[in-house]
Amino acid sequence: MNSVEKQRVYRRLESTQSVKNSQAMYYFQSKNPYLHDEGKKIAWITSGGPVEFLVAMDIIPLYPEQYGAIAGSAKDSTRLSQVAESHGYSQDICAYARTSFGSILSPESPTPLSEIDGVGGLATPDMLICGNNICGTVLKWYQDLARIYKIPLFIFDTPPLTDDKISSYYIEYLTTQMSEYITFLESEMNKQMDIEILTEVFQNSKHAIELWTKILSLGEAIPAPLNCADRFLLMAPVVSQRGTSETVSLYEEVYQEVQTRVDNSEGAITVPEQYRLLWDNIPIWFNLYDFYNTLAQKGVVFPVDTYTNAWSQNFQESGDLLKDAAVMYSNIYLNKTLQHKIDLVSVLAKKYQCDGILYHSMRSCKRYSLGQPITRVEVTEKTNIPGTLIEGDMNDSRAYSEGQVMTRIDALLELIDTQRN
Amino acid sequence: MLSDIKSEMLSHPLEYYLENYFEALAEFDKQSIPMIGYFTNKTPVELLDAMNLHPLRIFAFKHPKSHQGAYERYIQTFACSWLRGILDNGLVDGYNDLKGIMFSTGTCDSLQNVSDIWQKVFPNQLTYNLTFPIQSNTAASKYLVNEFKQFISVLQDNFGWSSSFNLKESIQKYNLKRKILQNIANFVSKGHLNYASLAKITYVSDLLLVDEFTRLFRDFSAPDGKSSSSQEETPRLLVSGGMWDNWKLFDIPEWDGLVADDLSFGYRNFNYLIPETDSLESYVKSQLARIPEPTAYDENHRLESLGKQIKEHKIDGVVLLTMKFCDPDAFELVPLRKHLESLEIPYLNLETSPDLSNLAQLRTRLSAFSEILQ
Ligand code: SF4
Ligand code: SF4
Repeated sequence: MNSVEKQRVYRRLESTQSVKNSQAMYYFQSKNPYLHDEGKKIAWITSGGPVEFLVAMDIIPLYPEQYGAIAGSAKDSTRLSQVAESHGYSQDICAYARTSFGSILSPESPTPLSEIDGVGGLATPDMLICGNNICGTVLKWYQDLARIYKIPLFIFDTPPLTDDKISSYYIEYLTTQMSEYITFLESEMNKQMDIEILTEVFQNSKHAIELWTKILSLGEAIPAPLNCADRFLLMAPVVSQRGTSETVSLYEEVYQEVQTRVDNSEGAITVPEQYRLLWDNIPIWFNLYDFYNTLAQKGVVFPVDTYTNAWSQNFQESGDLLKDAAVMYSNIYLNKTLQHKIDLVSVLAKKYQCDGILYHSMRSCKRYSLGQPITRVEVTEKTNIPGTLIEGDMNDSRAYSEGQVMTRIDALLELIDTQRN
Repeated sequence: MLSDIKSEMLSHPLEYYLENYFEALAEFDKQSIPMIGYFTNKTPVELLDAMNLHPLRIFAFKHPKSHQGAYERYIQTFACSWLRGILDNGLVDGYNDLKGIMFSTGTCDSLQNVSDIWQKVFPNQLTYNLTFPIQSNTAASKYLVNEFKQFISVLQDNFGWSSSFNLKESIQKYNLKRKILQNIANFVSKGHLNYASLAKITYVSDLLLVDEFTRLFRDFSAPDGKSSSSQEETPRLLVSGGMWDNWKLFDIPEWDGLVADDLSFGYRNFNYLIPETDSLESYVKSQLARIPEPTAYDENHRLESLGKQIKEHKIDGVVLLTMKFCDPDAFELVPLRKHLESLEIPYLNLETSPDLSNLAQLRTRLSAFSEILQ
């Protein structure tokens, strides 16, 4: 395949501006110098952490992982990782963690959230909330944050699920922790949790997740209305602000626009769609637009990915809020078995009529990546859809070689061509 | 014959059993001793013993037939070197003599994923993943009691009920083993035995039947006499780290001053005793009270314990041993360093893999460290 000149071949989605504005406001509010006087506090929380409880208590949740993605997109994550390494953090650990430590320990100012508020890194936390339903790494990461900031850390422990059935004692363990979580927050905020507000926040969360799931499902259309980079940007509110009514309104707007695209048979890319690929794992943040744009020039579009799908889990209501929350927060993609991942990738690849699968093998994230060689073989056996692994990282550009990656992708595209003929 | 193994035990140096690890497995199998292989020091060995199963630790010793790199079909190169070696061994049927493999996972992402991968690669072997809680409070104890009960019922389904199930007796046996190891560790601290011997004895203790080990080592005593004056001048070292399991690393003169450890399969595997009762609740409680591994959340317990050991053994310097690509070790390094700095104890970080591919470099750095301490 010949190299093609770099030109923008993706279609801009108007509602992404609303998402950006909303994120800007969110970060701006977190920097409010009178925040404590207004009875608010800041919590840093992991991406799989139970955020609704914070929203209900007037605590602003901030996500070091999301900050990592922002620093990555701003092409500053490698520098920040190096700062962390110079303070003794190994280059082998998750680059989100290194980016986060780097931003805290950087002698210069941390990555400006320039796209967002132009006033520096994440606001200093008052407390830390860590859910290990995404990986074990976050536990060590937050343990160290607690040491650095000398602030309280609440751990929401969700042992990895070893099969599809969740035992009653497992749920009981998690539900008890939900109660302890409330007690912890009440003590930190010196006020009672209002269960009515909490229920309302969970309802907002549920609606946001439902809308997000509907938006993702529109990707089944041909041509695909959204590409990977679109979804990676649009996902920010469902990660960080999912308990708010603003997120619900925002996603209603996004949904309308994407639906219109589908109705008009307008694709996410402006060139004819030739290859539909599934993306597995976190994106290459430091090369986000270039990467997908370069592939889009070859007619490659990604109608679906496992990463943004991870926020589409359903909140089932049984009438016991804490128990329902416990079930939802354990039933997370990365907390489940390899078999579950194989099944899900197979289902998604078929449902979204993919021609191939790209597995981003990231040394930063062992939980997401280790096992991908098996997934690749088994998914192809099940679906007859070929896939390939590309080596890289979401935030550390030193672990990424564009030449090698593009060669592997070209080989996959050729294989797809051969299978078609 | 098992009896041959026993007699060889007495006539061969300890390394015989470590060097011939895979042959020992085959011998146990021939003797119809049902073995369950385990990976971490959290494994409830007493429960396995009570079920008449022999808990046998899985080491990353290289199988004579293993092809280095065979693992790449299943896991990527950035998995820790320890797990890669083990998968290589498994792929040449190195662990086929085991009736089952058990993972006791906490927060090590690599181990967690490999537990799933193992089930895929070796579908005919019973693979069990016992997931430990991070917390150690009442809710966590309750959860773990149920996890253990579930585990027992799976063992029962696969191997039948052991009518002689007696948890208390198994705890007594393992407590005795731990006391023997504590005693031997004392000899090392006093300079009457070198650390490599302790490592070998500890490793062998996780290989032999527990009764056999206690019979052989119950009256163990190190050569009598005071440490020589040259030993007294040698700086006293402690090695701290995770799942290190290659004794050969310690069998070099550069470790002469090594008198204590803080390793998963060393001190942290024998420093505790469990209340001798039949109560699963009490068993779980004492398991959760142990010094946390690098994989676990730990506010201060491990650091405090390390500080105590440094005082007790009059340590001059600490070697922080990390396994290549082991995230938990890498993360733990930062608080450990800070803690040692606050105690004004010099330290050295050595990173390596079970195949000791950088041994020459490690030796140079170790001797330079000892020189600085002198
Ligand atoms: S290890 Fe993976 S799941 Fe965990 S924080 Fe890093 S990128 Fe996220
Ligand atoms: S704790 Fe470290 S050495 Fe042990 S399995 Fe995990 S990564 Fe490997």
